[in-house]
Amino acid sequence: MIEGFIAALGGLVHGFAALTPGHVLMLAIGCALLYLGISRGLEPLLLLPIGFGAILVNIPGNGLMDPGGVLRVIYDAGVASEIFPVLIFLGIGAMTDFGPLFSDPKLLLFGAAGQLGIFATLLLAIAFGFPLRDSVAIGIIGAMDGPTAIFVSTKYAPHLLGAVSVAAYSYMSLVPLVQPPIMRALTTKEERRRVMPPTKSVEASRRARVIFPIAITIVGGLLAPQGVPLLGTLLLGNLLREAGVVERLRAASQNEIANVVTLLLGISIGATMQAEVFLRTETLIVFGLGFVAIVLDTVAGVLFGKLYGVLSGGRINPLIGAAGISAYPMAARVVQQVGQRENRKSYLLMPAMAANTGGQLGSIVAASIMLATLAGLGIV
Amino acid sequence: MSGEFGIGVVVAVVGAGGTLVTLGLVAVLTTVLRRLFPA
Repeated sequence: MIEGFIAALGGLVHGFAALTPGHVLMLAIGCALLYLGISRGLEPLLLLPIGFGAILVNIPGNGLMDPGGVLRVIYDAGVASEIFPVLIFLGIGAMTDFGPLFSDPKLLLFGAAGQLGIFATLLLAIAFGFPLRDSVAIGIIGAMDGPTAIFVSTKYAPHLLGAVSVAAYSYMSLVPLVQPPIMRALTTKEERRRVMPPTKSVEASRRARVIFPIAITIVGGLLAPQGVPLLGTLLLGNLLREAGVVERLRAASQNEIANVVTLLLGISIGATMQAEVFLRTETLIVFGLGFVAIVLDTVAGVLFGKLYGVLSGGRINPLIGAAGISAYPMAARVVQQVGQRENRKSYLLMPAMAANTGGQLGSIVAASIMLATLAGLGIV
Repeated sequence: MSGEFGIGVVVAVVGAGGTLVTLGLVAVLTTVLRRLFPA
């Protein structure tokens, strides 16, 4: 009888007894992510479920990620299968207005410059001793695009998924802090004060807007078929938006589907942050390399802006190069703010939005091209 | 390791170049659409 009571009480204190310093640290990290999301407003839609997921799986004996556990089932069904990131792109496509690109399509090229961090970081990661597949997943943090990072790291390095995803989303939210000092360091005061001539506002016809996602899917898909799940769903979402005849599907894509998937995706990523998996030296290196990636993206974008400025006879303000990343529309707003701080007569928002839209497409294109290249080399 | 770095260089160069070329194509396509179907 007494032995029965002791055994029963033992079940109640099992969690405390099995708690390790690693669990405690991960619980603290989970709480820190919740703090950043709730109190600081940094990517709350993702950091809140990720932080809570991290707390759940670091309570000893929870069983959530054991075979058949609730979070394991969600993870396998949505993340390992790559369905969640793809569905997120459907929602992003339905929310994205590619209209600014029609005003000055050349600004799309900033979206290519802003991806340089991916490829430079890939090489850095290999130099740090990471295998090629891991390095690809680490480099993709430079895409500054959560779903792309999740898609690629699930494919190549699922053991790094937690670190890569948290780094990608955390750094995306830090764009307003990270980019301005780099922008100022790489440009002269005169360049920052430069007023760009007002872009001739060219409204795209409905027909052009409808054909755009179809044509880009076909051309991009033929160039890099491995990226079709990403590019195709982004542009399907955009077609739902521009077609104007499937309002219910557009609304569902950008609201109900995106919301449900964001919640499940976030908690699944958090569930990969178990102490024994996450607390390794390589996680710190992944975070360090991820930071280098976003710095290099900004450096490449601004330097490309300077080059473009020279080639265009001084008509381009190089600051807009910083918007050639996927953090949309945050990066464009940062460019506008930095430009306005230097010169109140400078309005960079419209060209920066075009560059930023190019960055959104660019991050997916870069990932797709990288996947196609790896497939060509037989590394898939 | 040097073999992996070599492959990495190939992936990086083809990836960066391919991204630039693809977005260049998209820019051309966008321009063509704009001209063919003005608002």
